[in-house]
Amino acid sequence: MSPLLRALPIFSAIYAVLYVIAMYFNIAMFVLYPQTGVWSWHDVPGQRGPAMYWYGWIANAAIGAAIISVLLAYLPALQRRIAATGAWLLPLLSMATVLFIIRSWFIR
Amino acid sequence: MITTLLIIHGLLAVTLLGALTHQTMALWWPARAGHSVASSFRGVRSQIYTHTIIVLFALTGIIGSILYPTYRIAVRPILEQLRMNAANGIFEFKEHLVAIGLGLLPAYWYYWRQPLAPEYAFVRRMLTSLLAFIVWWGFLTGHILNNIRGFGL
Repeated sequence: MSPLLRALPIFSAIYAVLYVIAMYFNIAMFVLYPQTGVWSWHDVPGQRGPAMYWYGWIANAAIGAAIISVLLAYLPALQRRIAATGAWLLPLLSMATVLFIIRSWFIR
Repeated sequence: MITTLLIIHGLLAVTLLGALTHQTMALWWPARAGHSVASSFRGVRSQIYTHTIIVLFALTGIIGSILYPTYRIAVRPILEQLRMNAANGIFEFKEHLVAIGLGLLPAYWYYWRQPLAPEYAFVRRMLTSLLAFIVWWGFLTGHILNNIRGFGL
């Protein structure tokens, strides 16, 4: 099996963690201002309406996970340790972490 | 245009929901025998749903991401003005779940490849269940927000 194919479960595990980090620290590759339809690599002061960072978080997580998972695919021992359990456990923990981060919507 | 996309998004979500629920039920509660509706629902060859689920999840997510800016400027401010924090919260959670779900698809595809590896049966169960939870949450959230006036919240 090719190393790139073996990287897929690692990608899913790492991506979920990186997404939560990107979301929590607001590390977005780009930002969208839906009111004006402006996309930007960084915040643009004075734009009308809200800013959307969601797409930028996904892009950062996907690129970061792709790089890390391809590198780990060439380290079979470490890859085996993370792959099967990490592929579902890390996303599950990430989902719980996200819920904890946004808990103020439900308890205030 | 947005209304058309919203309807397509909903129809794709219903199809995805059905496929994932069949697959999840067949994994956790396989049908032994009998010809009841419940056992027929669970008695499917779960592996045949995999590619359809991946395509449907990706398509539904992509269309949802096209619709999202409209929600952000047309719906969310109203919910904020009305102090419907829980309604906003369930959508926030949906947004993050879908993002994590998109990232789950590579692992889901990997562990559902044919021939199925018996040692990964539990991993398949967990990945499928996570996707099912994400899709159910997204579907119910969409319906609650779409019909929020009818809920009297």
